[in-house]
Amino acid sequence: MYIDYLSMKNFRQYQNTKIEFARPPDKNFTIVQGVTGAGKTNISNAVTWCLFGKELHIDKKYKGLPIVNTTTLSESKEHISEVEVEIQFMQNDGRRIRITRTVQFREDGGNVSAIPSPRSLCVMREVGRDWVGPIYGNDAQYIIDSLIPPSIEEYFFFDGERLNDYFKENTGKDIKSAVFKISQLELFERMIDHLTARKSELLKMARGLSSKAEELRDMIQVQNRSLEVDKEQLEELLAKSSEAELLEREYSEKLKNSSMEHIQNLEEQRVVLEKDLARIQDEIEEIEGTKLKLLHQHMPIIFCHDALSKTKKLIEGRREAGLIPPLYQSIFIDNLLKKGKCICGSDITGKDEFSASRRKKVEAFLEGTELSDLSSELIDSNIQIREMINRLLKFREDLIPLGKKLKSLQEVKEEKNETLKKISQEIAQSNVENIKMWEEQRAKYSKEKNDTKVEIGIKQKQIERRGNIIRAYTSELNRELKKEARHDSLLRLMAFCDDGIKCAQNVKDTIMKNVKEEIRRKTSEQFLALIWKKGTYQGVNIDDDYSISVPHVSGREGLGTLSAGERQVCALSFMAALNSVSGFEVPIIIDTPLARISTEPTRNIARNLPNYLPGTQVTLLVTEKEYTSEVKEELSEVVGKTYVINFLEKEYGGLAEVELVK
Amino acid sequence: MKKLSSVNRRILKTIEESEFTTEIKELLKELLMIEAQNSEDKKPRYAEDYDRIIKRLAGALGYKGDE
Repeated sequence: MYIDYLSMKNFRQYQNTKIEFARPPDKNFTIVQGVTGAGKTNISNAVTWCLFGKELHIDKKYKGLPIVNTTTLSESKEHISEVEVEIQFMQNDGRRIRITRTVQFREDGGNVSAIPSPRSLCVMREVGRDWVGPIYGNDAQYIIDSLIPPSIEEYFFFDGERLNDYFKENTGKDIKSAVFKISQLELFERMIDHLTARKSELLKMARGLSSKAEELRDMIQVQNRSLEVDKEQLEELLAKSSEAELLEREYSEKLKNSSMEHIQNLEEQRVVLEKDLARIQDEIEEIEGTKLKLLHQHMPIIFCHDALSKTKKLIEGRREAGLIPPLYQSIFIDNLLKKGKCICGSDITGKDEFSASRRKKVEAFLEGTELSDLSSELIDSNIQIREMINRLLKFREDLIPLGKKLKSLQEVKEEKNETLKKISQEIAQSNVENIKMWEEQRAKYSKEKNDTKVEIGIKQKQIERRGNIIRAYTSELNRELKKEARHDSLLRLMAFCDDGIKCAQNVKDTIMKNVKEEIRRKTSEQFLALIWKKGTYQGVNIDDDYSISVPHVSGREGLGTLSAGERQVCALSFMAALNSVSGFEVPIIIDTPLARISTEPTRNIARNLPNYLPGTQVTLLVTEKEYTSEVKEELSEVVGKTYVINFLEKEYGGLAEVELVK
Repeated sequence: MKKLSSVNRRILKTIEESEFTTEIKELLKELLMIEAQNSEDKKPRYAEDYDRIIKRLAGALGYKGDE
């Protein structure tokens, strides 16, 4: 899907402007060039205002001001002016869709207010050769939301200059939220919660339950209510941890940007050390997990080791003594006695003295068969016992290197922690008051973050335990309900809800895993292609807690030491990756994409960016400084339209016009 | 499918390609659509929609629905 045109009437500095965009697949880039303050950001704002009734990035200059063009309003005799923004999209199936938002503004004694109208938003759709519509209000908004869900708009229309701060301002929780939003995994979370609630409601409404079933139902409901409280508390803890992490980072940034070079160096060292420590901790946890798994697998053999060894010895002793394998089995002797005939043909019925004497001799063989009967089983068991003991030897072989690795990691961890402590002490002892205070604050929020993480772990365990209790009660309740046929329908409906919940969880887990890996891979690929310091970084990683890391080729963490331009490229790569996995083919508008990046790198970005957004309509709102001759040259193959904003300062505000130059 | 355009195509594809029963696939798609339509709603008030869909699809499997 791409934008055909955007027309703005009396929207901020645009009195009457129409922009026609470059159309994919031939030329998918549109350039709008203007000096700072000319109105680049308001082009992006006009798009989001038309679609969702809100502006995403309001410049300081326009904060608190009405969107209506003040020049037009002041010149109007009736003191009424109408703002209209219209966007026409071309959908993938070749059908056009036209969206118009119109709002009238009235000026009364210096106050400007909007006149509400239910027909403010209007959609027209092309069907065959005809246009269908107009469609107004909620129905119109629903059509727009289907094209671009409002929850993900910020990943399509964004401010490049702010990308520099993207990973500074956002914690793992925010990154996870971005991934969840873009892939709409949050819909699954809501759906699972609501399905669980409906299942609980079905049970609550059920009549004619036995007293035991009622008791179980009540207990489930009590546990469910507590679970809700636990989940809310977990959310609060996650928010608290995220807040502490941001504040910790803020003070760390202050130290890093302090005027004292020595403090800057120490802080940079600390950021690197902390990332290293986080990586080491992950490795330690992984090894401990492997160790625990091995111990779980081998625990029964470890407990039975003595008994197994003794049994093995006993069996081998019998074998050496020639007692096993057996010469004959008791069943064979029993058959001879039953038939009353020996294998040599003699009578052993015991009817006469001679026969009775022989029968006794044959019966005597039975005495030695007790062990022999077991002996074939013992032979099989001995094979298994030997195999178990061998597994135990292998287990020891596997365990030793793990233990060694763990020990060495613990030593490195201690060493790094010691260095961290020294850095912290050294910064805290600074003579500069501000630095001391920043360090105190940083340490305070670091402690708060770590303490909250422990609380989060405890709460998560509590939630898990409560879930197990609910499951156990539910199984018991189901058994109770099954006793009476009249509850069959209720049971089946509940089972259907359960199936729905399980399947939803299954799809969510699959998508979450795939999406996270795809975003990581694409961000990494794009970052390595766009970055100008080749061979410096390994790529970009997204940890289990969705924290972003950029490991240096040496293995050290590099995110904290990236320059502003590199951070912007990293965030740009992340945004492009988010877009590509979103499943929505929405045009992208980037405001000042290259502002923080110096000349040579911009050329590299301009060369590579089209490759990472193939077929996507991209609009770059750039300053003259960004749109250098090198960038122009690199983008020449993909740029279909180039505009320049002409801005004129007037008595009641500015006026801008967009002029097509190519 | 037209109504489902506000749901990520990746999700719909994963559901379609799964080995779930037709009724479960329909249930997930319809409930996701409700959630997508109401994604800005902090306190959802669409319990009736949920009950209607659950009972209809459970009914398709021969479930009796209400007690």
